[in-house]
Amino acid sequence: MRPRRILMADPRKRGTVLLIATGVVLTIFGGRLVELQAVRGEALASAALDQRLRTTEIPAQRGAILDSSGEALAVTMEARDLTADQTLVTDPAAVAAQLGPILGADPGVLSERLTGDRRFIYVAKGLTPETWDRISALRLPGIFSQPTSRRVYPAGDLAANVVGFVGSDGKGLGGMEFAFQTQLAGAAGTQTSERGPGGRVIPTGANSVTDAQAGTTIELTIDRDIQYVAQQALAEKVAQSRADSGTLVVMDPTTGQILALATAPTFDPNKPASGSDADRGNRALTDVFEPGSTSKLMTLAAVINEGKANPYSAFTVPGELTRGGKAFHDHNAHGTLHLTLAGIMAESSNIGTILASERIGGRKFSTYLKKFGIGQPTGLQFPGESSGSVPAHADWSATSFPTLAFGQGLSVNAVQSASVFATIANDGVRIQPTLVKQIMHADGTVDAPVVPKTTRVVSAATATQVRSMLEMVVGPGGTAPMAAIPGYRVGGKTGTAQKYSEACHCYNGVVASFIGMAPADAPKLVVAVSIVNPRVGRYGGELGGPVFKRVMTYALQARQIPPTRTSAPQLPLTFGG
Amino acid sequence: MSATARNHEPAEPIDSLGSIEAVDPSSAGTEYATRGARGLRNARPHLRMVSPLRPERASRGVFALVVTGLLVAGMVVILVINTSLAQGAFTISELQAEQATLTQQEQALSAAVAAEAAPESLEQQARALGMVPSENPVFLSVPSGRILGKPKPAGGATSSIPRLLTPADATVSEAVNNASVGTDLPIAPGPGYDPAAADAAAAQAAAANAEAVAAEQESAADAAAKNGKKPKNPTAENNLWQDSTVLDQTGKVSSGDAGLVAVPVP
Repeated sequence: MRPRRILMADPRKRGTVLLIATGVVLTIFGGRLVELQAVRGEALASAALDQRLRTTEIPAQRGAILDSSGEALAVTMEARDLTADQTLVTDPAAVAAQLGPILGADPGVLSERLTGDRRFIYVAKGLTPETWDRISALRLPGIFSQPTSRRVYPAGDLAANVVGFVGSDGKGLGGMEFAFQTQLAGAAGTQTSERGPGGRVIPTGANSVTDAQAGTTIELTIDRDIQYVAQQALAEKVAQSRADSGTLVVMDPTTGQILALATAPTFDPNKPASGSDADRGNRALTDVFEPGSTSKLMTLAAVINEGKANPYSAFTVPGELTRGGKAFHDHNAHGTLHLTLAGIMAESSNIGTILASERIGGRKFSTYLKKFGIGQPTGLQFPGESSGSVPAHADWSATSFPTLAFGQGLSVNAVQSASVFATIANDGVRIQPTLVKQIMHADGTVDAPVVPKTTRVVSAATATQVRSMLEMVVGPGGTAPMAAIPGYRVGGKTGTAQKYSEACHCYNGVVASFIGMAPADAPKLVVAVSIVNPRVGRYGGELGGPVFKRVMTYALQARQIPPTRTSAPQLPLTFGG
Repeated sequence: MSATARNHEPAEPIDSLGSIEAVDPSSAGTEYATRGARGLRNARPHLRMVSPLRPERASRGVFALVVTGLLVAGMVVILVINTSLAQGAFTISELQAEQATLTQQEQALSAAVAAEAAPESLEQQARALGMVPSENPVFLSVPSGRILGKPKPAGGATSSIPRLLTPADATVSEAVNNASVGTDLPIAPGPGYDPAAADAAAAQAAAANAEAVAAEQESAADAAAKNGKKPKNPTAENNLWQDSTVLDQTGKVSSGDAGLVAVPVP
């Protein structure tokens, strides 16, 4: 009432009151304005933006792994993870019964995963988009999916032990997938944008995208056709001889490139659980064995290179030789033989090799072993690789030298063995083996190929002489005539070594091997076969020879290597003493 | 808006002037006109309210109309812009979804191709066609006509398919081109091929070629005469049977099937 009276009574007063009231209100407004805009302004603005801003990760495409001709060995494809909101699944048993046949899973297990109060749970991972389409068509309440990716190995177990495999999180766990994890994975990108409550991007809002960096593509030196034939031939021989395992290496001695690296038994990288840990690794690099007679190649090459003998040098080989208080024998008992150096190689005489090695002495011999790469890393940097070992010269006992000369007492992996022969095949120059041909980045650039390390081990003349001796091994008087390929000059060496077991610290079982090259006068390929613990058959020639022949025959055709049309020298194996 | 406002500005002074104008100029005190209009009505000339000038009323209506029009137009423009932006967003999501579907299809198809092209699958398909791995690698040197290697009939497999395709898919000119860069192409020796005569055959290669070509032409001519028309694909027809015995029908074999040799089935 009073204000009305004042209003009626005094317009000027009324004006003043109004002015004051307005002033007060405006001051309050102003203060609030200052508080909101200046004091809490930034915090409130960013809180509002935060409500709308959503950052999503853009997954990077994992790089592919290809063979030497660009055929895919491992690729990444789009996939779906099947998820469930358990609170929305009203009848888990019925839903599980519908999902079971599509997923190929036990409905009982599925039903368990669908029962409970969890709002989010993975039901199955890595479904193909088609499988998800079928499930989504069922319109099951509470069943959702998330886009993800799936690693696929189109050729199954082909080169699986080289390529490796990935875990359920898509990270490499073995082989090249593991060794090149960082490069293959690339870098995930992010998209930050303002989104409405429905999740749709607000067109005028802030939007920033950091593109994902796709992973690099790794091109291997593996030729998948040769790899396939190698795996087939090896797996058949391992099964047929009821052996524990086997390895096969195909190498181009002129470049050091590994064209095939097969192991048996192997596994399917699409289902890594299908193989044991040992099957999933790469036995050709992780398992070491005593090379046995194939190692005689190094011994005899060293002797020739030092000028202490040539293939025609005559040795009188007794039936038994005692060194350091230990009697050494050959694999076949014999009386005194008159063998040439070529004959020692062809008949794989332990005693003959010991006698030859004594012409250069242990110290020199040990330097040759090192130059051939024995006890050294192969340079492949393969996960789990074992370099093998050779005792240092200072640690040798009285029996060490004679034992080492014929390939016992030292250990090598299959690639190292093959590399020794590749050195002889490449006129005495050792080229560090390689498995990676090139690395291609997502932006199209290609890393300059790494030039492999080369080492001159023996002279070209020595290598030629050793190769002609190796041809005698495959000839009629040698230990591996079954490795001969009609029309081609083939050289090689058999080996049957006792296998040292770490478990019992004793010799337990054998490794039968054959390593050879063709064409022997200008080798383009080296194939190394090892069969571990065969139960049917024992010798490297009979087990490794036919596998060598089959793989080499195919590889010669695949690489279009014609015969050289020269004839093998006929070296005398014995002399009339 | 502002332009219209400016146009109307002069109307205000006119408005006030109009009121003053309405007072009779002969009247003594203008102030009475407002103080006691009723009392003075008879004594003095009529004071009357003049209606505002007509143009003023009309201009207000136009003004309101123009303002409303502009408002509506502005809102429509904003609506259109927003709609097109939203439409753009929708189009983007639709296209992204389509791209995802196409990517999936593409991936599924490449996976199917990769599975078919895998060495294992190729071998199975080749064996189903009656092919077997070649036992001895043999090459034909095209410039010299020499055979490198020891040809041996491929053994074994039989097939339910009566006629076999050969791996020979290179024309002679292709073979010669390849040879000129120093490549020897593997050929597939067939059964009945005499390995012992292989080297001797080198010398007679030219003659054999001539004969083979003549035979080919003859058979083509025969076929033409029999059918009364030219065979549809004489080269393909001949390849089926004359794969390895015809020296100039060299097989350019790709890496996928290099080890496989056609075996005619009895």
